[in-house]
Amino acid sequence: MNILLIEDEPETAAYIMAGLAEAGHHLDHAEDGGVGAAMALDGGYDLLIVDRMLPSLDGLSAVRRLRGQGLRTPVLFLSTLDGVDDRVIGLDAGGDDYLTKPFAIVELKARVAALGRRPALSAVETVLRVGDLEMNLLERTVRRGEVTIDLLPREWQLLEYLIRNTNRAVTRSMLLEAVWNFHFDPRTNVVETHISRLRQKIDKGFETELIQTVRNVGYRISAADHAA
Amino acid sequence: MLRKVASRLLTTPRFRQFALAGLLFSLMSLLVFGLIYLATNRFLERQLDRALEAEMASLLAEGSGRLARTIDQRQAGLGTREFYYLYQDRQGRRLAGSLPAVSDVAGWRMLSPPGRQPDGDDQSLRALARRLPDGRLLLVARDTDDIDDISDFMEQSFGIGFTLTLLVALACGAYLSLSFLRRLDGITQAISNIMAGDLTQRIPLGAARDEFRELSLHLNAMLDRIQDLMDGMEQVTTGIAHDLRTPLTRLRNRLECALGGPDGGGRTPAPLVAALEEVDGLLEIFNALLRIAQIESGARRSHFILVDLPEQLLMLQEVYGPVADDGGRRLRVETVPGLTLPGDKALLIQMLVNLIENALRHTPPGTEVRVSLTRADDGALRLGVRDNGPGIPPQERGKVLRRFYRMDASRRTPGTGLGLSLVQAVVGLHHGVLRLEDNGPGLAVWIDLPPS
Repeated sequence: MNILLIEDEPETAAYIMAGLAEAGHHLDHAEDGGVGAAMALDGGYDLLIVDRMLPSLDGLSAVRRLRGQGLRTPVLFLSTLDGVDDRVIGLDAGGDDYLTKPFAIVELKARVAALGRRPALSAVETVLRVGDLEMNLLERTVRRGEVTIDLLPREWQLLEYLIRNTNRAVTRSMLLEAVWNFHFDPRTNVVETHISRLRQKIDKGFETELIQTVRNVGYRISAADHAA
Repeated sequence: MLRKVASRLLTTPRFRQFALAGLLFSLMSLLVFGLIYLATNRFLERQLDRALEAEMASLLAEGSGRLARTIDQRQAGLGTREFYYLYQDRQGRRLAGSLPAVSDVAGWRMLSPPGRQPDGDDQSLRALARRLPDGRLLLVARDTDDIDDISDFMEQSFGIGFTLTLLVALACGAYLSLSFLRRLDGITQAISNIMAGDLTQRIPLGAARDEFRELSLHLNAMLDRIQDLMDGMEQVTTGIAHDLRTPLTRLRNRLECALGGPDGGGRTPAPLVAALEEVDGLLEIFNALLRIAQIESGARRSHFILVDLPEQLLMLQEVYGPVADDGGRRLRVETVPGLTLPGDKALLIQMLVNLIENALRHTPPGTEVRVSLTRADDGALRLGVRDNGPGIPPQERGKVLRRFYRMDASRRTPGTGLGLSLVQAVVGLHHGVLRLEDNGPGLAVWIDLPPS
């Protein structure tokens, strides 16, 4: 993926660039908002990673300006501000995701991967499939092979989010934000508990395990046994 | 609107003072009038009496022989309109004069004018009777209409004057107290906005150069000072956040790089993993502290929306019910629909989560956690989170709300010791009250949140 990173702090920038390059992405780097915005307009990027606090033009204003000029490239905000309001303001300004510093590089990788596929997924799909698991969004039914599976509303959301990120690891905080709208770290194993309930319904009694645990990262749904 | 103003006026001590002063002045003028009225009446009556005495004397000077004729002459003459006469003998027979015969008593009396009912109400003649040496009775009378007219006029004009004085006093009182209240309302409104978190507000100065302007200037100066302090504090906390979180973040990133990321597999040295966890813990404490400081500043009150608490509780039951089940505990939520309150939704959810997670984490398996939400008698929403676990000893209950305080029993459970502090900050933000009580056995956390 072609990624533009707009970040003024050299060390953080190096950390991000090293981490994402390792995951096979190509990165360009700008150190201030003005230059970054110009680069973003020029050049065919798949994703912008924008720090909120920047010299000359701050991240929020830069993204607002880009959105005003019709640029639709997904934006991931980075920030040391940690308030729900800040998150809401960031998303209102045209951001697609919001990550508070400090973050684990796996968290960033997972979110970058999820954002990269976003435009294709926004197309209208009525049936989602992973292996022999089929999720019909119109009829609101889930089947695995010949078996019809009953899901609670929240389990449905959890499964849909996993399937929309098929073959990609999603982190606990991504699940907490997307499924439960929790923007904090719970001190009990909320995610583990609900994933385990979902596994009971989806995977129990079948040969292949679709919901896989990715060590140190989170979970992934995949039909392949050891997807990359 | 008018009724509201009126009821506002009547409950204002300032207006009551004005009204009382107006009433006192009106009463004083009433007293002065009364004195003038009485003195004037007395004077006019004495004038009349003197005139009657003079007329009597001039008649008597004529001598008793010519009395009847003199009376007839005077009655026929110019003085007719002024005086009435009666001259009667001992048997009460009228010898001369225009008045009907009267009882045979000398001295002053009131009589009815001729042609009217003798004992009627209209006794408007003042009469002086004198017994003559021959036993006959001579009576001179004059009507008091003039005096009555003057009295009536005085009563009327004073009635009007008194009413006007009273009205003007009340109107002045109302005007002065209303303008007083308006100034005060402006100040109160500005202060309540400021207390709600809008520190940029200032008290309106108003056009008049009065004491209020002086007061407002001083209050504004004080607010400038407070804002400076708040800004300073914010700068310090943001500074700490930035200055300390940034190197901590770098440290964290380097540790992660050293660990070689998730693909590092089995090569990860345990001390590095422990160090990374330690740094994450530090950062978490920082975030929690900054968050509590942000909540306690009250700045978030300007973002309040109507929050449906029962709905959030049912959502949390759905989330935490299975978590409790897996840990061998039970989570029960009891509430009724429609209990809403203006608040910060994200923070209220965080508060509920902290309470529920506390109850699930610090109790042994088999514990039942009951979350209830009801409306108390005073209209407040009463949230209860009760468990039948080991509870908190009474002497520890005050301490667990302190920042970083952790009971010996819970030191083995990971945590920052800031969970309940955050709960208390959120309760304070919503002007609520938090109590920790014995649930016999277990802990009961009660939170009363006022509806507005």
